Amino acid sequence: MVTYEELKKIAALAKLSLEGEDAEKLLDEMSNMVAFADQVSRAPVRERREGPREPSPLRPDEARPSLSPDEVLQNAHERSENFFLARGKGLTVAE
Amino acid sequence: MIRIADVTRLLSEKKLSCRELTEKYLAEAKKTNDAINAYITLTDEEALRAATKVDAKIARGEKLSPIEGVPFVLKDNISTRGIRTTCASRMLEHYEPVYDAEVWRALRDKGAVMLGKGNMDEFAMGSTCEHSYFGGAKNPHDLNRVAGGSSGGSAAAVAGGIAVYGIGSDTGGSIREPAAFCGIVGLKPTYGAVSRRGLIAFASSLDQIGPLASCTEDAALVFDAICGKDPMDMTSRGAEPVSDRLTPDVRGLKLGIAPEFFENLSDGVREAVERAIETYRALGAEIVDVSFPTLPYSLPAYYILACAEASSNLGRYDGIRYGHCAESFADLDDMICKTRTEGFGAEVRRRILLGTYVLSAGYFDAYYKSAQRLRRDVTADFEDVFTKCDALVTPTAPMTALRAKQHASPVEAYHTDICTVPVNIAGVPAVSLPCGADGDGMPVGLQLIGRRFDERTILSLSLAFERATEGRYLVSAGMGVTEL
Repeated sequence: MVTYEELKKIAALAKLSLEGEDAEKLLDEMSNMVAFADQVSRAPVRERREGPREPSPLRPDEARPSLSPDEVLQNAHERSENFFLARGKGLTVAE
Repeated sequence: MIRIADVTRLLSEKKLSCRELTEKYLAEAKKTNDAINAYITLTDEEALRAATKVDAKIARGEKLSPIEGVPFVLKDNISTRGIRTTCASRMLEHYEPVYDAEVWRALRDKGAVMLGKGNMDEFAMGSTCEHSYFGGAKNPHDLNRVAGGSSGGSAAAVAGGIAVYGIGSDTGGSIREPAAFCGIVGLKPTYGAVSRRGLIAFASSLDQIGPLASCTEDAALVFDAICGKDPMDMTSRGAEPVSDRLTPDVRGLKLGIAPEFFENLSDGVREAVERAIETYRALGAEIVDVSFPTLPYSLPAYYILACAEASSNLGRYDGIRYGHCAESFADLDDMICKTRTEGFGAEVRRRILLGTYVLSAGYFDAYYKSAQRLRRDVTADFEDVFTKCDALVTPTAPMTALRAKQHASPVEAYHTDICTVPVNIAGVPAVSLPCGADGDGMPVGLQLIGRRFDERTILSLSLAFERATEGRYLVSAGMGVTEL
């Protein structure tokens, strides 16, 4: 069972707003989803058969051509020279 | 349904130019899309440009490669430089990638003709294709039913005759399940066989790109065109091409049947799958009993892993670098929260919340760590199974295509994926092929699961079934381009 306080905490961590949500419905859905996920706790614990782990392949760390700043910034909501611009209260562009 | 080999023959014999073919498909796509909503974006200009190049090659007397000049649909979570890639989300409604996905690059360089970007569940999260910001894709066999998800647009376009083949992605069944619902062939390759570079991430340890096609040979040809090692995707290993190595002779192959996969099936699915098993027996395959004890726990383990990875992967959508941005806000934190709440649909928000929950302090061990332990157990179950047989035979889904809005709750909807998720958890390959129809005439999917990097065996088995049943289950929905 998920409480509203827990839901608020999780939503804040996930950067989601609960404003405008049907809180009762969402709580019910989240409680059902968590109860569903909780089935993993009932799985029998098996003795481990650890095999050798496959190593991660690596590639040489060499500088290569990359995207230009204009391409990288093409979808930015706002930019300032070659930087992404994040706007919000108290955040201003340095003159 | 039109096959790749039909198109290649007509183009090579100059009975039809690639431009004429492409214009025909685009015209049909515009008409048929009103009914089935398979495409989010049609890419006429790109398609005709590619077709013109193919015609020039034919005029020079050069031989066409297997997929050259063949019109296809690309799922809209695969990046196409300069062509909007929405992921079926308001968040990316106007997003134009600045680089190409490796799969799109490989197809384009081989002369493939992209007709458009396929509809899907938002961020590939869903089993019905109903969670699309652009409205759901409909099933060409019955417009009151869903196409399946999440690659529902690609499946509906192929079954609806407005693409010869499709490219989808499969995180928990998103190629195989819509293929089953729409009566076509869908291959989820081994994890690492196909590059994921440029695939917009949902759950990176589970996502894999693969083909949807009207027959096994087409699925194999497309797999050959897209498989390969990519130095820009550190999880890619590449794979050997398979289309030249398929054989319909299955004598002596051992096929495993695990009873866990046969619980809670609809009557139509059970009957069709059991008949298919008898077909394999008659063809000389040996049917062996195996068990898969972790199946009941695979589904919750999958949803924990997938949602945890999604909550992390989707953290990048903050309204600053790309994507939707809220209009009014009090401060930076408020801007990010409003952007994400407005930009993501309800199912995506639910999965992010569940993922954040299972990763949060106090719950990490109970949920995420347990799911990771189960991941090893599921993989071990496959290893045990494949000491006794060459492929595992299961239904693709417990039911045929659902009616629109049939699921009562999110958790009920997750149960559609019970037969497909273990495949992604273990990273093994699986193909879904049509093996019959239920009492309402809706297609039933048969799933063949193989050893890692053994696409050849499962596609050979799929081909053997098609030949033995004379392709009678590869049924056209009677719309779109039905003849050339």
